[in-house]
Amino acid sequence: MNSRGMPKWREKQRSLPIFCLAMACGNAGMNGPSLSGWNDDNKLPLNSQPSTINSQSLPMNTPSDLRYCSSHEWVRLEGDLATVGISDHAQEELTDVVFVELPAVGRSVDAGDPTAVVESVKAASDIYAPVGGEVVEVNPEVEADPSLVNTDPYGKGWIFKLRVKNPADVSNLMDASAYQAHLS
Amino acid sequence: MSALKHSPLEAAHQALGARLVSFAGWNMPVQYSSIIDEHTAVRTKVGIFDISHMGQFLVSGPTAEAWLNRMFTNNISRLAPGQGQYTLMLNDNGGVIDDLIGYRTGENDYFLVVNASMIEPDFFWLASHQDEQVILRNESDLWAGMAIQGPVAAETFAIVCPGETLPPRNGIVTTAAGAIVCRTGYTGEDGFEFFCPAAEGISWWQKFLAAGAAPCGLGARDTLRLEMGYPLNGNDLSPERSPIEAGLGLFCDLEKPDFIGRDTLLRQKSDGPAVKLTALQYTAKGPPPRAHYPVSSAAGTVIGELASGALSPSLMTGIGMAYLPAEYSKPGTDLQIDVRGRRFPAKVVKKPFYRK
Repeated sequence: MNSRGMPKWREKQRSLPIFCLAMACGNAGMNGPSLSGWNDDNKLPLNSQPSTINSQSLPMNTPSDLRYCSSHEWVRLEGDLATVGISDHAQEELTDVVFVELPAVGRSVDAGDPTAVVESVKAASDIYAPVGGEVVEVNPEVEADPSLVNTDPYGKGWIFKLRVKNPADVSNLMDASAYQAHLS
Repeated sequence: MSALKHSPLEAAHQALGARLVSFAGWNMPVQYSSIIDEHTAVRTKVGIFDISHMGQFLVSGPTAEAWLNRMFTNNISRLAPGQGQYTLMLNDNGGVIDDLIGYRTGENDYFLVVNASMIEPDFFWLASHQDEQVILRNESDLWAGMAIQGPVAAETFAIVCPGETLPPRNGIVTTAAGAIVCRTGYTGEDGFEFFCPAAEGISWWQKFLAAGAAPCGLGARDTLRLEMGYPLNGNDLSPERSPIEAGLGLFCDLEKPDFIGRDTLLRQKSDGPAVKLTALQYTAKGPPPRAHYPVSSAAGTVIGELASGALSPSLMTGIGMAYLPAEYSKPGTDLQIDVRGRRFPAKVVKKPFYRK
């Protein structure tokens, strides 16, 4: 996930991302026009949060049956079907999810492609495809009630499902303990 | 970029688990719990914002009144001691350098509160036009500031400052304890802005929290001000736009014989501005509108871009402001906002977006 959009603030000529979630995921972390105008001093990767925040928010809820991206998507693989959402940590960082833009069913994506957009009050964040495949289903409930992403990120807050090209790709993603380590 | 500046209240924000971000060169809280919850606290009860980043200038001297009337658009002679006014400082072309509040604290004494990112440029501009009989002091680093805002802000004040009286709307007083209290704000709610010596900041902040004020960050401050249609310098105001174009003619006294930028304002006033800062609201569900999203006519021609935009937590719909050709600025005009290549219907509305 990656913040995009250009929220601006009082007394400021430049745009300022509020929650610039870590950019290292997959290979598309710097994709898209959304980063133009952002300045290094304004970036706020999760792992540079003040320790007071981390100590309050850990241990995060990271179910052990899921795989994770460093950009905070989770994946649940059943056969060749991968359900994708954002982690509890990501939803807590975003807070107040108010809009989810879903991909078109039938769209083919490569790992790292921006595939959906989750918007909080202050920032829009790309959701990347954790692995390559075809979008076969999207969750109309999060479109109708985006707060499901906050209240039930691993359940009713799922975002899209992929028919993955190569299910083995999922096992290359982080498991829960690696993701926990990534967050701390 | 120079080192981040730190509010005297920063330790209190960290203790509350606030999310701090770089803003206007300051490490400031953007939110504590949730922007929507904080916004709602201010609309329904009372919230407190750290505004220590804002700048404070003192101006005094026998010619201060005349000098400030040349530097600013509003008529400072209308203020009796203890009163304040919203005003603007323009460049020679009538573009906005900064918007600020000027308070008259004595016959020849004034207290100015300016935007954080503009402290140095404002001071430089004022100093470079300084009247030799005027004393101008930048006291921005000496003061902590907080804005206590919401329908029960006056009760909060009574708890924290027993025996003191809140000034009337736009007024300013100094308390016995040496704090400066201004009945002003940036939220559309009743409330006051409280300035005290920096070292006393955390102690006052804790008192206001104990009296029931919810800590609120810059995120809620932005949605609250936008619901009122209040401009934000850097978004809605710029050196390329005049207050007439921004719809702030009310704060420009064109009867004054002279002030910097007056010629442009007179011309725009008589000809009518070619562009106007226009309030837009979604007419259907859509993603939160944000600054720089293109705005197009109903026919699909791009006519401008959003200067500010947000999902309004009070109205639960997208709102924004854009400089648009005057012919598109009439309330009721159908327009579209382009979000990532998709167009969402919006219409021109009157400010404020939100009314009680």
